[in-house]
Amino acid sequence: MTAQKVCPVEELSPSTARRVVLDGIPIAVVRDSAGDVHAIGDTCTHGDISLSEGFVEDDGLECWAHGSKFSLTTGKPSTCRLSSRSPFSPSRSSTATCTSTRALGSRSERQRLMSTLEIRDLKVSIETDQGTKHILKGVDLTINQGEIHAVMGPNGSGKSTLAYTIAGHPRYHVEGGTITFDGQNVLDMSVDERARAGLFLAMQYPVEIPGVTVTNFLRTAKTAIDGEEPSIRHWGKTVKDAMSNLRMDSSFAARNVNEGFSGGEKKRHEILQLELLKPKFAILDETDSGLDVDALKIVSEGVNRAHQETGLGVLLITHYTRILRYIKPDFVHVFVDGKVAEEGGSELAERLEDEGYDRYLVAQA
Amino acid sequence: MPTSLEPALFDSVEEGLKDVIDPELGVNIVDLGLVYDLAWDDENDALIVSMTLTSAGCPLTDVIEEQVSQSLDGIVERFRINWVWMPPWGPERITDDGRDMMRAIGFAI
Repeated sequence: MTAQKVCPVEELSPSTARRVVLDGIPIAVVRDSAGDVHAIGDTCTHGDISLSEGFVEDDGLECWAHGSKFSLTTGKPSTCRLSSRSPFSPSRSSTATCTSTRALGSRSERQRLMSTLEIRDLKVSIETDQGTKHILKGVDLTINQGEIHAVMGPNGSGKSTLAYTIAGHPRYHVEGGTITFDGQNVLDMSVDERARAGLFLAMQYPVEIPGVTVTNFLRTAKTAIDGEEPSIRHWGKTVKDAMSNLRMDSSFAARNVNEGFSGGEKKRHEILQLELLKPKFAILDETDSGLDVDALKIVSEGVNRAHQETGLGVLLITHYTRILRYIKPDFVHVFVDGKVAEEGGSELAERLEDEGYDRYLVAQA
Repeated sequence: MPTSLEPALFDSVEEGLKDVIDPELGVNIVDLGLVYDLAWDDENDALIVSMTLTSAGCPLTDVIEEQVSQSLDGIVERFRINWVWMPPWGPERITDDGRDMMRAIGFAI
């Protein structure tokens, strides 16, 4: 560990903090109201939020996002201001267990620091034996990090097409419109570039990869996304802990990817990837299909956990409203015949539960 | 006459040696099962590491000796390596942790 000059003490005013990166580790250098200098880790236990952007109090450095306070002497979190408790917050987590990313500050503050995925007038077609089939006919959708969007609709409305187009599936041809990630054109990026930018797709029908073990696959993916290999000494434990949170037996690590996995095991493996790779946006393509209630709860817990810990944005594609009882959406979009037919909050999902999609199909006829 | 190590020292030495990585396999020498014995030389007040390599003709003994020296820095003041070639090493000596690590790297094991 090397010593690094930050600045003369007088330059750092009392009750202020400054972020410094030393040997790749972000550090918050804090001068308290008494004038004493401290240094603690700069990253909030919730995710990639810089503590030095928060508030210097006498009993700790307060994170601007959720109000967690970190002791200036030990760097450990002491209090959390949030009162609501999600039924799915993990009790054994070593990170602060405060919940509810709804308390993320004002929307403009969030947008300043959070990423945005914007889809404008997207038109997508696919080649079939019968010729070109136009599936998406002008889709508009914006997701900010931290938000949960549900995309629902009758079969054939284009929900999965949207997911695959965002991910970069070569069979789907974009006829018009744009997809941008913080202003950058996603459609110009290759599939792995999109993954590295922070997009993740949980597949509806995960593919078997014989000859590649789960542990090797996960480590290779993590290395590709992060740009550096995770420590081999700790990787085993990291994977084991994440697997146990999803009630996956540790023997799965040595098995070939998805080979012989049941439907529930495949879906849990998709969410395992989500938790380990920590993307900015996750597109979950009918993650609930084929799951029994127990598996649905476990998978939802995993998504909520990742959402709370990293503030990820979720695009949840589903036909049924059942999963929305466990993963609460901020916005609901109803797809009919390749376009967004209606948008609303979670009350729209409740209406669909009661009425189904008839209303839209009748209007079409 | 070499004597056995106190349990606490044994654990510290073993932990330290886990920083010595076999350059071919990418896993540390302890989890590969290359460290056959740890003992103490009372006469010279030094640690004796009895170890082997995955292949007898390995030309990297100097490199590994250097890594062992760095890893033991702060744990013991003096040590020597006792290179052992019998019994020869085999993959069955790899620990469960070692196997997990090799699988994560991509070996079929």
